[in-house]
Amino acid sequence: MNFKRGLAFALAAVMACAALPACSKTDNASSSGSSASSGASSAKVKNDPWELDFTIPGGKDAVSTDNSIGQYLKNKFNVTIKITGYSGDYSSLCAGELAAGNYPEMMMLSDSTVFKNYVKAGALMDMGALAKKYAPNMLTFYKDQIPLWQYISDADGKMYCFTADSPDVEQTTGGSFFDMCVRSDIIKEQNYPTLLDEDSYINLLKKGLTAHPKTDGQTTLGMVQGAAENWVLVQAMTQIYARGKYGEGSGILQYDPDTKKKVDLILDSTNFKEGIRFWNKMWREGILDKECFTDKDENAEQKLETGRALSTFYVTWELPDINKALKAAKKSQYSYVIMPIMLKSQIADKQSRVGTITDAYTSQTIVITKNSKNYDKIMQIVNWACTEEGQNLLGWGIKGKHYTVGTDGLKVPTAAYIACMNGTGSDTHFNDGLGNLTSYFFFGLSSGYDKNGQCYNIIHDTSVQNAAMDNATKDIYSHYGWTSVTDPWKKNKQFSYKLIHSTDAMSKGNSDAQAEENVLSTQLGKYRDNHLAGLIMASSDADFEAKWANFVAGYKAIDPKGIVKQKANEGYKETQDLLKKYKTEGLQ
Amino acid sequence: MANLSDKRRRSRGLHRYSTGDFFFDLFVAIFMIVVAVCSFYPFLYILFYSLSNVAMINTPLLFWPKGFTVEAYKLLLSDSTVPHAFLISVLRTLITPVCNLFVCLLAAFALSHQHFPGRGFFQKFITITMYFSAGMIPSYILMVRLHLTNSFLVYVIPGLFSVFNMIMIKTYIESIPPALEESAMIDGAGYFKVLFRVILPLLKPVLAALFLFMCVGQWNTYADTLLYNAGNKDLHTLSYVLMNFIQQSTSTAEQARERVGLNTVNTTSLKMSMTVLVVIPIMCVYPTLQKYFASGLMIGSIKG
Repeated sequence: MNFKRGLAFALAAVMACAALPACSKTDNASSSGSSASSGASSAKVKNDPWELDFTIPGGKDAVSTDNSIGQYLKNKFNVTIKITGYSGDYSSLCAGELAAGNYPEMMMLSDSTVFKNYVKAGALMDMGALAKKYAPNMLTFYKDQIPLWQYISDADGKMYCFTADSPDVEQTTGGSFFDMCVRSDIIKEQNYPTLLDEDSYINLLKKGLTAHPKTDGQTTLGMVQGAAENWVLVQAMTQIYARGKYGEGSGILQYDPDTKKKVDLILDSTNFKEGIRFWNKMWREGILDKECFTDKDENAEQKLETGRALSTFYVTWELPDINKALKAAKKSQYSYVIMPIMLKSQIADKQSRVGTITDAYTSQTIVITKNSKNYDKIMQIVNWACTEEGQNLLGWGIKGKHYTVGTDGLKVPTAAYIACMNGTGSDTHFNDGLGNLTSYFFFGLSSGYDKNGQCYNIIHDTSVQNAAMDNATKDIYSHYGWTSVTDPWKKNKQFSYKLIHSTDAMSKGNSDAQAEENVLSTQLGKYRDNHLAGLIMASSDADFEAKWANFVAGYKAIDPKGIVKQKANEGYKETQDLLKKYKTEGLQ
Repeated sequence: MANLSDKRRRSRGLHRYSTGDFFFDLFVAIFMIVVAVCSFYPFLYILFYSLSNVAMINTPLLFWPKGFTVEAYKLLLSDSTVPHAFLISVLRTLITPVCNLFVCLLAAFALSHQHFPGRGFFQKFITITMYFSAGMIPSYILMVRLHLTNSFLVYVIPGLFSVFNMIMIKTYIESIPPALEESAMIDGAGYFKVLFRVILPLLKPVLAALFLFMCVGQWNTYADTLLYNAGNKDLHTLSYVLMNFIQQSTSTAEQARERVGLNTVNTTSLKMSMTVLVVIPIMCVYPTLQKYFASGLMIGSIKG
């Protein structure tokens, strides 16, 4: 009897407990992005406080009223923006929301397939029509991007999205030249040698290893890479070829600005082979870390943070944190510096180093869905964002607080902004609301150049990057006659620099995954990926050549008729014709 | 005993401990020690790493914390959402397994009776669901239609029934002599009384084991939070909060260095600390439930 009573009481208690948290469900947490005035027609009541929920994959949870930028938006538009950072599979979430019909009113669709599904399902509002009615500034400010957005929408000239951070000049700014990262002390010790081609780096690192066999009791490593991760081996390490006239790409087909066609990097150019040969030489010389094929990126980063690695390649965005870790560990002498690299053949060929401006940053495709009750209010903010005032606020912050304007009209970040960016300021939240994935970029922040040649987005502005340059970089660069973070590429005496636009290389692919060219392209990619490590670990020049010959023979055998290249060039022509048509005809 | 011949010892089932036996036992002991060390050392490594100053770690193995520090834990626990997330985790870890076992117990008891009408059909119908799953998107649609998104009940209701648990309990019930139930019914007990007064006390071992497995699963999981409650901070669980923390750990570690002068943590030490924080509550629960795994509860239960 007692047991039964006890059991009944326990069950009743747990069920009651289950009811309590459920009762704490908050009203504003609906994934459909409910508004505080959801019952009213938003078109009539313009100044009622309203809320906007926005999910950013990889972002951080935040409420806009917690920072000064968000407060400005609150004061101007009476909007509170609740940002949810999502760390899971965002594409699956978006697909689930589409299937369930509970997508939020405004969202970012990073996956082009998911975006097209939303368009096909009729879940999105016609952005072109919204812009014409509520955001005329957008039609002017983004007149060069609109044909691209029509193209991305792939809906007979209608526009169902816009892309934030567009155009994106990030690839032409300092930290985005994904080149060699070298420990500064070995450059100094070897009296600032000329560093550009493969041999110069191999010599530098060999001498560095001889001079420093151990670093703080541990064996010094010449070059570290987290090649256990697919993107490092396949996408990063192979990109040595993209240090001349070819921009970065998949490594199979690449746009050639000279011939204005797509070429096969493995069959039509020696650059890819020479890039792999560079890694092979590094391996044979004992410079490339023997653990690179089992290390993940974070393992390689840890080796850099202890200073025992003399160099790495491509991961320049990790350098600020790595150098700060070295400084904190009182090992500033090991700070890493980004240095340019170019293949010997590219130098001999007098190829220019290209910087690509991404005209439409499709990873930040912003849409307004048919669940939106506040589309007019959202477009009012977008309309304002497409003005200098809006761009300055979203991109640079508050005048007087985050930046000042000099007599020449150029914006200059304040000392407080720089201190917060460098981590030396007392207020670590000073810059909240600005920066990648933490700003209100989704209202239409551009990362292009303004009329004064400054980037609308402060984090990509060269003056800001120069102000944040660490002492080791300044010292090294000064010996080469460079004063800016971009000088090693834009003012290098050994090669010229050229800007290209991503639109020039844009190519329409076949969306049918089972199409012959897509199947062959996947096979080519997998075949190449499976042979990379073997090529890198060839035991001698003769062995490398033999392995390369076998590799090319197998590569040709997969697509003997060159269907992939042929279809790519056909798609390229079709795309360029379509873009011209949209530019001429305008929005439908 | 010592004077018995080998033949007589063997006839009595006795065996002289030979040199071969000694070496065999020695080999088994060493082998098991190696297995135990290999099994346990990774956790020790995680613990030591989490308590070490990362700048002082320069060997692949750790046998003690180097430069003892608890800064990684301080950093993890400095997140203001951790206490509430801990409460949510505790609630779901207690509520869901209890409710699940209650529902499974009822189903198992019914299906354990041969004379239950439609028993075969129900068994097959339920078992088939073990092998097929509709996938993520249909599940998501179902939760949306049931208005379970942004609700604590999404942690309870979908987990109310588990086929595996039901089968385990049913199998255990079937191993109990039917005479026990019959004798209780002869004495006037109904089905509920039989279930809760006679059968249930005998199910403690299996219920304890299943309860523990479910607790571990509920404590560690964050996929449902990610999918259904990501937008509601009040319903975030501890594992979700920590997982999010780690995902942003590069900037977090950097902020830690600058904010509080911490230069002894990095991404890996934060991950290690998170692992320890998540494992500790489960390790505390295990010893408590060990005693329920004992057998021998059946002795003296049947009259006559």
